[in-house]
Amino acid sequence: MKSVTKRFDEKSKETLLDSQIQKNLSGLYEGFHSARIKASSDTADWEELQSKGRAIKQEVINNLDKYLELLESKIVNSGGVVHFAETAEDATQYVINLAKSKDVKTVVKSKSMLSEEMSLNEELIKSGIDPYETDLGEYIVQLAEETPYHIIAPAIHKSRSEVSKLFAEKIGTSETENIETLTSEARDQLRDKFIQADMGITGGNFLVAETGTLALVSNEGNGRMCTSMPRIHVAIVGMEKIVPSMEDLGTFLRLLIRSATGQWISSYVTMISGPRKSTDVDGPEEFHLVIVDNGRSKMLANPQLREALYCLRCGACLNACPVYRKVGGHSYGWVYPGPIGAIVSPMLTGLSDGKNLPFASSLCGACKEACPVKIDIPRMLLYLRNQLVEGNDYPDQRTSKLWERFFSKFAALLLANSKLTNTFIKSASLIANIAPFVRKPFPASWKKTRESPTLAKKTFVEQWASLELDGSLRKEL
Amino acid sequence: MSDKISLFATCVLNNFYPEVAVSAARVLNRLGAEVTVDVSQTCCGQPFFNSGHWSDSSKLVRKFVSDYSGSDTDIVLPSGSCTSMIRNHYVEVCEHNDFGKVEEISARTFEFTEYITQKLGIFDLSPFQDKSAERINVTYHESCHLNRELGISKEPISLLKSLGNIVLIDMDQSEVCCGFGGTFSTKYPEISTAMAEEKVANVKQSGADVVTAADMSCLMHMSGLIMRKNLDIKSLHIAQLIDLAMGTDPKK
Repeated sequence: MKSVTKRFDEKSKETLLDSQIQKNLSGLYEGFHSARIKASSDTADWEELQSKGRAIKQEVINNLDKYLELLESKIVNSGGVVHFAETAEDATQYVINLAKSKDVKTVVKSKSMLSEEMSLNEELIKSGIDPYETDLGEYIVQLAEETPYHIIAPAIHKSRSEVSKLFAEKIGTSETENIETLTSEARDQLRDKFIQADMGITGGNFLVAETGTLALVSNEGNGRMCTSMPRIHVAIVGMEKIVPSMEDLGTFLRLLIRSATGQWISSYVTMISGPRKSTDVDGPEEFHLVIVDNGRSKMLANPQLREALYCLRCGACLNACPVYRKVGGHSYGWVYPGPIGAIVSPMLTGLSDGKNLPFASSLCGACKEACPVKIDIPRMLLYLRNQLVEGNDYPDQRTSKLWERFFSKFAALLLANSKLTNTFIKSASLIANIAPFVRKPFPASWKKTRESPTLAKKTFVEQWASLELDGSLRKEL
Repeated sequence: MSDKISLFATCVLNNFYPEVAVSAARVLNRLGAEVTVDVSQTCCGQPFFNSGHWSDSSKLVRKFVSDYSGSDTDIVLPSGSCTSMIRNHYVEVCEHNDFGKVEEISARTFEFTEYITQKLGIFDLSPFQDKSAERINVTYHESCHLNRELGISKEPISLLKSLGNIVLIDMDQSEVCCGFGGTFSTKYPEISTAMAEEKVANVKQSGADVVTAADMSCLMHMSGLIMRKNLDIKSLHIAQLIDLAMGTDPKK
């Protein structure tokens, strides 16, 4: 997917003015967010699970090469093919070459954010192959020719009547507000595709190294259809998705599902270890696992950002984020929106292009609080801000303006010297007597929508000398 | 043992809301603390830190460390956000040989309600209350850094609840950010205002006459919008509410 992180300002303003999207987003907090809080507080050992999950992720990410090798050997042993792709283009090329060589005409896909990094659908179409998204939300987004709005709820920005209109226009169904009817219309459309398809493409929530198992979490059953009906199954998975053992998988399924939808367990958890065995009655003839880097090793190499690779892609930080709930998913300009996206998207597509993303946060910390593996997102946002302003880790990516650095330096030097500060404030106060606006020193961007506070005639420090703490200065309400 | 404290008003209170710092000083005094003020105080450095200017922030960290090291006096701030800057972020920007000093200072730096509850051990303010204090309908906003970075949530609420003249009214989504976020409020004014709109709508819906919080910057943001909308809702720092509830000096 082409990155448009540069357009954050413009896209976010547009979204704020779109009352329909604002209405559609407003349900996230009472919906997914509250469901997550309930599920996690109903889990007796939730905090223990979080710490355990975090420790496992830390171990895996710090020893990724070892686990990748183990995983590869297990998958190859069970008859699968493993391909390591350094870039999204490389991964796409592998899938397309495979599809062409096996005479694939139709592909069914289950939800994969990584396939968005690869612009996989677009590229398949260019090669004369028809891809069909089979997750309902993704199906809606594909029909609308858009990109996912949310990591786990791709069509969260569309109301039922918008979906109904879209279906009527694209697949000729009659308009209805009934969600069950709409769903069954999509099912009817997709059933034939599952039967037709020569290839199923899925993502992967986890890769279990010790057994060589791909684990897929879904609620619609489409994932299992994609992995069992077509003759070829290709899984495209980010290299950070490894867990060491089956036991660890149990920990992560609890963490992921409860944080994502607030369910105790999803309707389906599908586990795949290679293609159909001679004794199996069904399943694909071929199983290919494409493990993708696409910039992840850049985060791996930086101890400050490494924990971003612990992300389970549950979407909890998006639901918790008051900024995401206002600006929506598309404003962020690339595959991953919200707080985790504000770190991952600039790192994978160019920090200076995505310079707005780390700054577009009030640093309220709701994301860190919501994260099942306690990723310290605010700390990383602060780190990226520092890198953009004056850091030495990505010097060619710095974007701060000279005047901004000068102003900051001036203010800091002033404040570091109390005598200078007091003189400065006194002068401002004197000037304010003839130029009253000086008493309201807030910028126009504040004043446009909000009243500015007023500089006190005497600072607290000035008042302190003459202050009696016995109630004589009591202020009336 | 005398509970001697040094009150760090923060730049926002010192320059814009000195009356809040006065209230904080008076309340702490009445609760038995001996209040002192280092008059060379300016700013904790957080605005620079949060906007990426860490080298500039470190100048103020150095000042704070040199102003407050070499003493065992507790430092009290009427702000969760600035307290968190000192406790959680100073280590990121301080000079290497100041690590020890920063840890030592952090350990005796407290947010206002935290100091009252944890250090003075006072959760019930009713013994200090002026029984004739006017009844006020109040709703409480949970400031983000206080709640999430310092883990202080129950303390201010229990203090407010202990005051007989205060009717504490629940607010929907009281834990959601008001949209201030320091320079975020001027860098992304549309997003910041949209967040404040939602917050103020919840304040309004609570029906309270006063919205309170333990951080003046959140209240500055909320009141900025409240005033623009001409709503009849006052914004008062928790120190001001406690000060009011205590009424005139009990000695008089």
